[in-house]
Amino acid sequence: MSIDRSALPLEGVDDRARSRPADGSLTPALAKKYFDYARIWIRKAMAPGGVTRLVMALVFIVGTDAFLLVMRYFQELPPVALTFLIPVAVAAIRWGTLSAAITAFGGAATLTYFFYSPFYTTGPDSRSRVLGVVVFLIVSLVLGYLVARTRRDAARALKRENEIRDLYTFSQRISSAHTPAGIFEAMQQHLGTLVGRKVLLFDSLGTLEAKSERLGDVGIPKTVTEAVDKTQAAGTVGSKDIVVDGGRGSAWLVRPVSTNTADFGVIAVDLGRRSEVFDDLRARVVALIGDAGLSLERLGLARTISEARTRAETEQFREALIGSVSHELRTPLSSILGASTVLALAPEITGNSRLKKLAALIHQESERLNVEIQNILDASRISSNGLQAKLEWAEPSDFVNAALQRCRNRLASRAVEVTLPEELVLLRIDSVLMERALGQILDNAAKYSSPESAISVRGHNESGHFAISVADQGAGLDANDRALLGQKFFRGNRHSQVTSGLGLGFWIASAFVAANNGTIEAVSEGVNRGMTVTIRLPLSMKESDKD
Amino acid sequence: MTDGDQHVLIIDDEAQIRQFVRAGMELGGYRVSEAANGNDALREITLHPIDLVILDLALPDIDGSELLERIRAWSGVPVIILSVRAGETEKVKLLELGADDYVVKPFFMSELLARAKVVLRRQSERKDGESALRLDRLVIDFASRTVELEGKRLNLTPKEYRLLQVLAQHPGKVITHQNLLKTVWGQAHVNNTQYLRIFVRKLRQKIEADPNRPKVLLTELGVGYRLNDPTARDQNRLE
Repeated sequence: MSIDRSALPLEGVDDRARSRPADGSLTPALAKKYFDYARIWIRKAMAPGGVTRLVMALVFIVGTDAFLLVMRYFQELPPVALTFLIPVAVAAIRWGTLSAAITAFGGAATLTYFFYSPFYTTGPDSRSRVLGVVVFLIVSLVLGYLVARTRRDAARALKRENEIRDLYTFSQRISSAHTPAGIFEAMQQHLGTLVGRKVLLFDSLGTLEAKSERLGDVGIPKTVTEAVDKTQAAGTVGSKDIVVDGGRGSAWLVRPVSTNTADFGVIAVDLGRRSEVFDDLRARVVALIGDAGLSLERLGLARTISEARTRAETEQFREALIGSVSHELRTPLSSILGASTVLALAPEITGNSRLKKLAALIHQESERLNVEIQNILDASRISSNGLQAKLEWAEPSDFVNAALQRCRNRLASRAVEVTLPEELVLLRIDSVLMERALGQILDNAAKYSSPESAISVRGHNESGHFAISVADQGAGLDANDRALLGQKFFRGNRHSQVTSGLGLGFWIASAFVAANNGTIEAVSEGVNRGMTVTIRLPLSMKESDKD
Repeated sequence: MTDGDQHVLIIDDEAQIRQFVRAGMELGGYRVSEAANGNDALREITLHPIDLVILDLALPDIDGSELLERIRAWSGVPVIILSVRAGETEKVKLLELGADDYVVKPFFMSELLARAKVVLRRQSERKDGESALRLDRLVIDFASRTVELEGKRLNLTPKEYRLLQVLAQHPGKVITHQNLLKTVWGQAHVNNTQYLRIFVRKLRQKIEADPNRPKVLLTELGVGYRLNDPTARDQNRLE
């Protein structure tokens, strides 16, 4: 089912030639048009197919004449004009309108000469003879035209069918492709068959990913690589297909595979000579690339979704594991901690300073373990969005005192200066969460400063907020740590050398404060210059919260 | 530490917990019985005169809070709850069900002993029917409805007095927000926590040396308030 590519569109030009304007006035534009047609006709005639067409038309006439003359030698023939319609029709089917017309004229000429009496003469000597020839000419030309048109339509239909089948195969291939590589391969193969020339894919890094389908040994024109580089550099913003001259008369289309993302690279297609079909071909190639680009995006989206799901499942599993492990750790810890506190009360041990120290050690360490487990539990609760703040009107002094009480052991050696406003302040908060948040901040302040240094806790009203700041004179933060502070499991480099811990404290505090619609801010003048952590909670508007 | 021969029942399904609580309570001078499940506990309470119940909520046969309800149906024996569930809603619920106090696991033995002491003292005072409560520098006379701080009579508004009175009826015991609001302001104001905050603040300004660092009227975060029992304060905390 090979289709004569070069011949097909030209017949469309025939049609236009026939339907010329009726007035016949010869404007320069019209003249140029006719000149163009003539050029096409001449080229067509000179082309291998064109000559065949002429020659075959003549062969047909001669053959028919010879056949009829031989027949007449044996027997007197009736008027034979109809016989000449056979070569006309055959020529029209095989070679188109031109052949049919030549055959018709040739037929008419030989018809007058051989088969209209008196035989072997030319010239309009008889009315019936002229009429017969004219009628024959009209009939054969009309027949030739009609047959040629039918043939053209059939060929077009066939061509469309092929195109659609190709496109269908292509879309099936790309929709069943599970990897970008599959889509690239399908795209390259299909485009290769479509244009019959080079198709090159450049991935997002600019390296040549695929070789051409045909003419693989021909190098890539420099202009094309330049255009590819330019398209890649431009990114997806305003990227359009560009046509560059690849030398040797071929034009290349350079275009990003997807206009939405630069991730799929750039494609370069050799479209061949700039002929009449060029724009059509270019439009089709662009449509195909667009299709493939969409498929790639769909694939990318699907992958992103599945990755997100996997991540979520992993996270869920991790949280469940942490939760259950922590719970299991806590049960025996309750016994250890409880028993150690009983030991510390026993007269046998309180009377012996060495044993008393050991009992205190067990107690301290199990308490520390308990705090860390509580932190992990809190963290897993935060991560699994299990944090529900129960907001109530409450006094900040209550949770500040509770936090100080909780940290009393750690803060025992220090001067802790607490300043709170004299007047009543009511905040809409979850006091329990706030106590835990402040506890974490106090704990950190105690951890990362020397045991003798002072810590100040100051609460005050501040333009629409109630601010509680905890200032220590400890290790402080450097620029690196500042950026990382607030991340889960973050511990400053120096911190890990000073004291132990999981680095969950600040992260938990941030989450708890956020659950209370507050903000938390850590400011440090620099390394070893202390740190001030400020929690800000909204002073609720009386109107909006009064219910 | 001589609390006489008071009898404590420990209800917990974990032998390890029972073991150290028993050791601790015996060190504190109590007589101790144990029960590993709810049914044994009920039998124990019916058969013996128990002065204090230490109840773990997680029991194999009966849910701890249900057991508490059943005990409360016929007995006023003081109950201290042990629980790993530290939620404030849970605490409020248990207090409303009639628990006298709760301790969250893991806990310090000293703390449990202190709570036990307060609860038992409260129990014996109730029996005595004292008409005045002396808390450190503060004296609350229920008969004359007067409050004295270091010998000086305080000028309290009726609401302030009522609030203090409700707390003073159970010194050391946590009274929930809801309970206080219901008793002092009435059922309709059960959710108006801000009333409570404002009056507690006013009361603290009158009875505390520093209202920002209260020593008498203490806050139990997310649950309620309690009056600090000085007998519990001298209890040596493990420090």
